[in-house]
Amino acid sequence: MTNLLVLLIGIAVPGALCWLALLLLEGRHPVLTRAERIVWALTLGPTLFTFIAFLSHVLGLTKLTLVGFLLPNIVVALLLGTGAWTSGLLRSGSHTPPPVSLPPDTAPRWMRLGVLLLCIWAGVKILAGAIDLLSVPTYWDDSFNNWNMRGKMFFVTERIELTIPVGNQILQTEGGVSSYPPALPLVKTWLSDLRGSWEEPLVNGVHLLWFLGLLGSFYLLLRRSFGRTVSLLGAALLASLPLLIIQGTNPYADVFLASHLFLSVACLLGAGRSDTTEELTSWLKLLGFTLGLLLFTKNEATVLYAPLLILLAFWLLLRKKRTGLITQQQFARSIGLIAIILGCLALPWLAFKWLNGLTFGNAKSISGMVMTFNPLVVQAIWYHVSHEPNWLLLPLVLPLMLVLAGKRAWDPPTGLLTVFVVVSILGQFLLFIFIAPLATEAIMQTGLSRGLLHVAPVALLLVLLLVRQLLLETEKNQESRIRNQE
Amino acid sequence: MPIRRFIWLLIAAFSLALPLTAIAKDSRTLEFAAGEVNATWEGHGTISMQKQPDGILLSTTGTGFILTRQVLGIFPQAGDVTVSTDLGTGLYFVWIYNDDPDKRPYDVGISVPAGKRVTVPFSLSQHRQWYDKPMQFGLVLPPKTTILLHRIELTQWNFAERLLFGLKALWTFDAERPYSINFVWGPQIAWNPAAIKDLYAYLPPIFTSVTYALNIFLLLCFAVIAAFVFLRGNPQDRRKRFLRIALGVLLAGWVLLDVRMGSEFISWVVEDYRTYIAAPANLKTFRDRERFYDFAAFAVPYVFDRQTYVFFADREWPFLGNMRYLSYPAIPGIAYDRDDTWIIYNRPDITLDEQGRVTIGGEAVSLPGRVLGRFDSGSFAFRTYQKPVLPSPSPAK
Repeated sequence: MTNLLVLLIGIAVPGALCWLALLLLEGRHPVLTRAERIVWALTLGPTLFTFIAFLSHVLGLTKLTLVGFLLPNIVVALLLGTGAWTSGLLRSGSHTPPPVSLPPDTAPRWMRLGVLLLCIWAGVKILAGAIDLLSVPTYWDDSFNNWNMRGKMFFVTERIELTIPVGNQILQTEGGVSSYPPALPLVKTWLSDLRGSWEEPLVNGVHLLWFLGLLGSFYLLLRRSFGRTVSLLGAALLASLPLLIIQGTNPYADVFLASHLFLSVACLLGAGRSDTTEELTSWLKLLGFTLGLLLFTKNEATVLYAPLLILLAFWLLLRKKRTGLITQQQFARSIGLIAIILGCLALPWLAFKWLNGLTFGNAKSISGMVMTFNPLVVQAIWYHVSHEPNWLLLPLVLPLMLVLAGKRAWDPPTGLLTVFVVVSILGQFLLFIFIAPLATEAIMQTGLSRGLLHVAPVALLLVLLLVRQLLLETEKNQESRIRNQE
Repeated sequence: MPIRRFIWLLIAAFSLALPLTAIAKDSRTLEFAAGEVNATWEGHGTISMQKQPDGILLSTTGTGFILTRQVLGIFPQAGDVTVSTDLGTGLYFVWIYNDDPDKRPYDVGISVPAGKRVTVPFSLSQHRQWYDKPMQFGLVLPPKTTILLHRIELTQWNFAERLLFGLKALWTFDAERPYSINFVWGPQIAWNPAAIKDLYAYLPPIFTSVTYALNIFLLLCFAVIAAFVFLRGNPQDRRKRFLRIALGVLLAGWVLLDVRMGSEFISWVVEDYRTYIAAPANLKTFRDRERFYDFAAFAVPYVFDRQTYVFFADREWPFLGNMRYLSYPAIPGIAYDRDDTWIIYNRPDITLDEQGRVTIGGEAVSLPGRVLGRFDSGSFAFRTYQKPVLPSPSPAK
């Protein structure tokens, strides 16, 4: 019970801080609904909170103790609160609602009943997974060798340790798991500092937050395009992906990354959909913010997802400029905005990595890797997506929908998702096939499955949006044909 | 073709197939006891065969074959072999087609544990080269193997039974294993009980994946739906109709697979609850780690005030890393000559000699000391009476 209480406080405090940050970033032109802001704040909050504590710690100002976590965050919260108060954002009625009109629910009764059953089924699975997560010891290799181990080291030593004793008198230095961003271990350290001891249910239980946060933000994003029933169906389909629920209810870091990545992609999509410059600016500020935090989750974000998202944002802005939606000045200002916010959050961690000689790959350095074609990887990828139900029927539906949608699948704003999903997946496949030391990650289905896990929620979102697009188009075509006949 | 007529055709086809179910399960038992053994069995390779009252004693120096050309009169899907052996061994059920000019042997592995009259089932139907053709069949014994072969039984099941086994296989779950965090094998197609028993025994499974079959089936469905809709549908709305039917079929397939995989996920939680969460303290086991976590809870208090300690387990992975995490800041290692506390997990070969020293394979490896606590016969915490002193380094010359 104490663990649960600490967990709730340990999530709520960072959540409140992040809520303030989101409120300030959106400013007088909010783009998130109230529910979205809360879910986003809870999902991103611990990362922002630990980032501030990390910054204060590496600057030599604080230790990784309860005070060390709270003090710098209180200072930041006061600054953000003051900013929000003076800008009038905290006063009731001053915060204009976002220009979002949620589609009505037009689903027939039988469909609502079916979706309700699917949601109950998803709920049963999540509850079962949660009970297991809170009741069993730390079992998985990466948990006790990386995420939990580092969190416990930070908690015991009260500082960021880069040298990890492996056992048998072997020390692991910068080349190993220390090259991973410390956000997740620091969340565990923070919760343990709050609790006063290292408790397995507490440090493992926090992983549910990102799984539920991902499901919540997925549902809320769908809600912008679909009625309640279809949005719930989408969330139930996401929760049905076996590897997602397995990883979501176990102390691994990939759902943690996936939840952050999904929010970054949501910002890009929001920017793509925005009709006004103000709306666009708000989404771009949020994109910079989520991208900055994304870099603090796992190395894959730095070497793969963030560069791709930045390129897509640039492409989007260039397109908006060409079509006359924004001026040259607004274009430059938008790029500057993303760069400043992203830079503030990304540079401290990247500089820390650079200064300490930490590698940039997936626990393997990406420099000096040899290129060679490995046919076994092709077989492993094929087996993973066609013979194993890791992603249920998503590997079949995704290419099918892309084929059916044809050229329209590549048109923005949905096209942003298409490019992101296709480049991320094919990019990873090519890396595994041609970069020799990464081949094992695909053949053993370790890095391969996790890479796909990061992208799976975006891929499912893309499928659902393409289905909607195709159905709407056929209806429109039918209507126009009937009108022509009349 | 109207849907109603199509359904009637399906019912008719099924009714025509029904007589097949009348063919009952059929077995052929090949006995090796004295007086019952068929004379057609021949030994090939470096194998000696000796008749015994209850079987044939087979012994090899190199690889040995025991083969027969008997005509079974059935096309078995599985079989079992009954043997007695003092040491566990691996055998192979082997067959060579009579019309194969190369006389290439095909085989199925059988893992036999030590024991008297042990019956081990094996499946044949999943083998790509298992055909209903005249053949020579029998067993292959690896070099330096001795077994007493009592019986081989080969079984053919009828259509209805196979269908039921197929459904059972569909609902047979893999356990939660170290690889489950990265991938799941999912349901496999199997038609006999021996195959169901071995469904997840091989990495990767040797059976056909249901996921793969479902993907192919759905692709065929889309082709059929497209043909129906685009050939016979109203041209005004055929695209919409195709999309709606195809999406409905896809969703149905998705939900079916979800029900299967979600049930497997829940079965893992139930198993954890039964064997660990709700199990009595001294009976708790956890997945493939068995009693390790209870042992760690027992051992960690003995090392809480040590920086390092000696740790031995029956295998290094995953116990070294897991123990390091659980006992941190105390770090496990192999510094016999420096650490005074020893934590031994599941190593019955590590004992104490008369002088109270830890011995491995009869060789003393520690200073004299005492057992601080014993978890089970092969797991204990030990501390030397005196702290080992490292020999001082010799002065540089």
